[in-house]
Amino acid sequence: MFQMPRMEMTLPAIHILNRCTKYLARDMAQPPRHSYFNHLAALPQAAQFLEGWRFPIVDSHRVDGDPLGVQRWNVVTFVWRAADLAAPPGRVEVFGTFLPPSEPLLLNQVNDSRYWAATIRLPTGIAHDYVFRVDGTFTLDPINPRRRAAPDKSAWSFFWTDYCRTPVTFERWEIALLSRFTSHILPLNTLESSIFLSRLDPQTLGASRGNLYRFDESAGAVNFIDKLIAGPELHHRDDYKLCLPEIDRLLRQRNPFQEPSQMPKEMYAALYSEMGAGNPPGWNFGVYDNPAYFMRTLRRHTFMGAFSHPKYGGNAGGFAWDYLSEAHGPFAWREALEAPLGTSTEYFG
Amino acid sequence: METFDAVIIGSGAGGAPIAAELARAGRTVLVLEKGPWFGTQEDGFNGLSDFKRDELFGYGFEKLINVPGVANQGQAYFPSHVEPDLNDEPHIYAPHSELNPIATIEGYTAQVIGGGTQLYGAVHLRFTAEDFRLASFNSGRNFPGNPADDPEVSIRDWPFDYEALEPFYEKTERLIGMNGTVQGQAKDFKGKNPYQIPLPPNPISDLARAGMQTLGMETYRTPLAVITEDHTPSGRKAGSPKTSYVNRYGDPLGLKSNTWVALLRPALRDAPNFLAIRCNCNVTHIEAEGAAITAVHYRDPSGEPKAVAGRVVIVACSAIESVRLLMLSAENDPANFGARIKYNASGSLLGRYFMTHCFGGAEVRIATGQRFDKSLSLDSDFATDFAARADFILQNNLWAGGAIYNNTSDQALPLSLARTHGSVDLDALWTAWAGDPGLVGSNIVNWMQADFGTRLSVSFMANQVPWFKNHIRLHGSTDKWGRKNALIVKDWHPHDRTLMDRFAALCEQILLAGVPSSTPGDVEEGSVKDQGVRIANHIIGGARMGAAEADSVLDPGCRAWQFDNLYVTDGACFPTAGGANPTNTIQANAFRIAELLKARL
Repeated sequence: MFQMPRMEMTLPAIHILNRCTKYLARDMAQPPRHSYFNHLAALPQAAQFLEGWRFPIVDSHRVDGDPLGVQRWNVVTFVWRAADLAAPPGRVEVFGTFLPPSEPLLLNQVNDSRYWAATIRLPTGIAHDYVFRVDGTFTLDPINPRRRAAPDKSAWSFFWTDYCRTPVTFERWEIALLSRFTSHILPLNTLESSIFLSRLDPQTLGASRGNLYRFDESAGAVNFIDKLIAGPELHHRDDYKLCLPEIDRLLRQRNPFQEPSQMPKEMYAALYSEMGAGNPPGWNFGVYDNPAYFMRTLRRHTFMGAFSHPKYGGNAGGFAWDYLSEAHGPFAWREALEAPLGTSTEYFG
Repeated sequence: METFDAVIIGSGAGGAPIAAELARAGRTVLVLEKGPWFGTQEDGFNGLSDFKRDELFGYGFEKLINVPGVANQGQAYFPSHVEPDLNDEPHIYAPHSELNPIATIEGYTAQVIGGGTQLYGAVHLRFTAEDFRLASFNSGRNFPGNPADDPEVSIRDWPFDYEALEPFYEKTERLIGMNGTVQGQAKDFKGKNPYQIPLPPNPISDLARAGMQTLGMETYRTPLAVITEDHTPSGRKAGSPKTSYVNRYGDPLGLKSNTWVALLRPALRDAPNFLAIRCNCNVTHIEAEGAAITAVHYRDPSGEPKAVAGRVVIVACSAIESVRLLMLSAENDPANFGARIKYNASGSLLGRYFMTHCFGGAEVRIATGQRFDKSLSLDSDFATDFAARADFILQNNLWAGGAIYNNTSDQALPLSLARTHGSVDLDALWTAWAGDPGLVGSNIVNWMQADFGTRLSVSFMANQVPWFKNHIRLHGSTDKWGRKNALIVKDWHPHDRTLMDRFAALCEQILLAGVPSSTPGDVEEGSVKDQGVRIANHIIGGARMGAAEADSVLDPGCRAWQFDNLYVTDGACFPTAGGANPTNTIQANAFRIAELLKARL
């Protein structure tokens, strides 16, 4: 159990409401608007809310006197939405892997709203499980669609803080396969890019330095995808979970004597091309009927992962931006962004 | 019921000037804003802004359209974090045939304190004198394709002229805070220079300027609502605004002059007892007794129904949503509100003459091998009014003109480069890039080498013909509160197409003249003429003001004719679209209305 000095915070009510109304205020009698065509069918309540993956709310945090603070800490706000204000909950608590088991966090009503909230400062880079207890009854977060089972099979809601590099979706073999494909799509692990790796400053990399081991994955694109399809694009989780076994099967079929992750890049290039054309020989269309769609999705995800802000899990230390700067630049990206990632003295991320 | 002198619906360009002016004059004001209060670093919690320099804030993660009855059901879209969600509150678009309507993000501005001024590119042009008198300008003209010959086209002079609005332009520019140059503009600034000094242009923009000047076009630095010096009226300090996180991004530093940092925040500081702002509050309908608006009904941040009253009520929540709100209020009370606003009445102009701008331009990949860091830029550096002047309009057999300026920050960042690659509109982001199976491996590297920091575009923004057929009405689908959504029925008039062809050709000539070694084969020119859905977030008309009740929805003071205390002050009130981005004129007109209201209240 991960524990740390407890740092509860009180946020201004407007700060919390700003992050609740758009997503949670609505006529709950309507059919779910956010089921992603039944991808959230098992979570009908979560499917009613807009972007339930935004909960708990993970904000950045600025620590005066600590230039690395913005990469080290997040402010996390747990929100419970009362179904009926006429019968409000008496006591709402959250238990989680970031707290001692006997010391839950107490949620308080935000002004006179439907929202009960509690805020705590947590380190970046970690995935946590949590559960609410409402008037004595334990319950998963009805808003957040992210659920997973603990080793004892118990169900938990979960979330992660920025710069998280712990896999939450993929198994090791899936990561290995995807790494080969993302490297094929976006070959930033070429000679040119390796030059940048040798120059990267560990201090500058800050919290994202741990992603460097994923250098072969097009600047951490796999780690980005791992988080993306557990939250914002949860509707693509099945695409990966269905296609990766098919890809593994096809590769083993083509070369029974080598682990897919060790196969030559030409095999991946050929399979990518075949899938992009929509008809890879041997593909089981009964399992997944549109391999070209999967490849389009993977291509977009790879590019997004490589070139989005490192807090999303890819682009370690702004590596891909550095690549752009030197290979296709000029691109003075550091001037715009927060320290320690960038060099702006005005902007805090 | 809680009562204020003024209740203002919307905190953007049409509402904030009135709120600030009335509060400073000692009138009690309540602003109801549907979106959140997202502040700058200065006013955010813990010294952090709610806006980030983060490409996934501009356009975010993929979602799927799930709106019954639309042709693009199941299609992907990529919303920003402060625009409405299409599944919760879509705009529905249909061409005149009304076949295959689609849910679209087009025509939506930001739902946040400051409204669309938070996300806009901040190009802040005045309209020309001719823009206010296009009926008079075109009177007696005879040329092929004259849109005035079309009985369904209704070109009207504004009920006031440029001279009347000029002092309010000057006030807007001074109070909002902007940079630019006067010399070269086709507008009379009365000897004053309201601008701060522009920052040095991005070097790529010099190619556009050279092209304009080679063609004999007088240029000026594009007026941008971004402060480059300390700005006393709003109490802001100068900073370093040149990043490509400008257009489509809220500014964490508050250097982009949105209505929150420029007007509302200073007014709150100066007149805290007179100005209240309630964010996360969604107005559902307006209630009237006879000619008097008696209540504004809204849902609070939890969704609980609430109501307030105002001696005057100002609707300024962007043209489409303002018209929608009037129509929803009419459906709630057809006998009184509906009758007075002439909802669904024969010949009613409510919702009619909806406009955006004719827009398009030309783009070139610079062939000389020169590369530029477009990320060190604001949205535009150089503009010309060459095509806004009367002689150009007359010589080209057009009914009206428009502005031309270069774009600097487009595709300056890697994700924007990819997601707008080959896309025809905001509803098709990523489509072309992700759908191109050839973009893989070394081809991606080659594509970045060819396109990153090498593309220069020049755009035009010109008047669109006011056409009766182009209109807003309610659609059968409903939002997350069960309220009918807005349907926009719009196509381009044949003369719009002619005008866009002429302007696009002009933009192409600019690039050919300015970019060394460029050939016609290098330059892509075009416009939105084949995309009726395109709105550019310049949402204009639908409740136009005019001198005669039979010919307008609002009187010259933007008051709804049959109501005593109901005003509409966003772009909905424009009789014509103007030959430039509309925000400056929306704000100037709002300051004009504020003067009228101060005299009334």
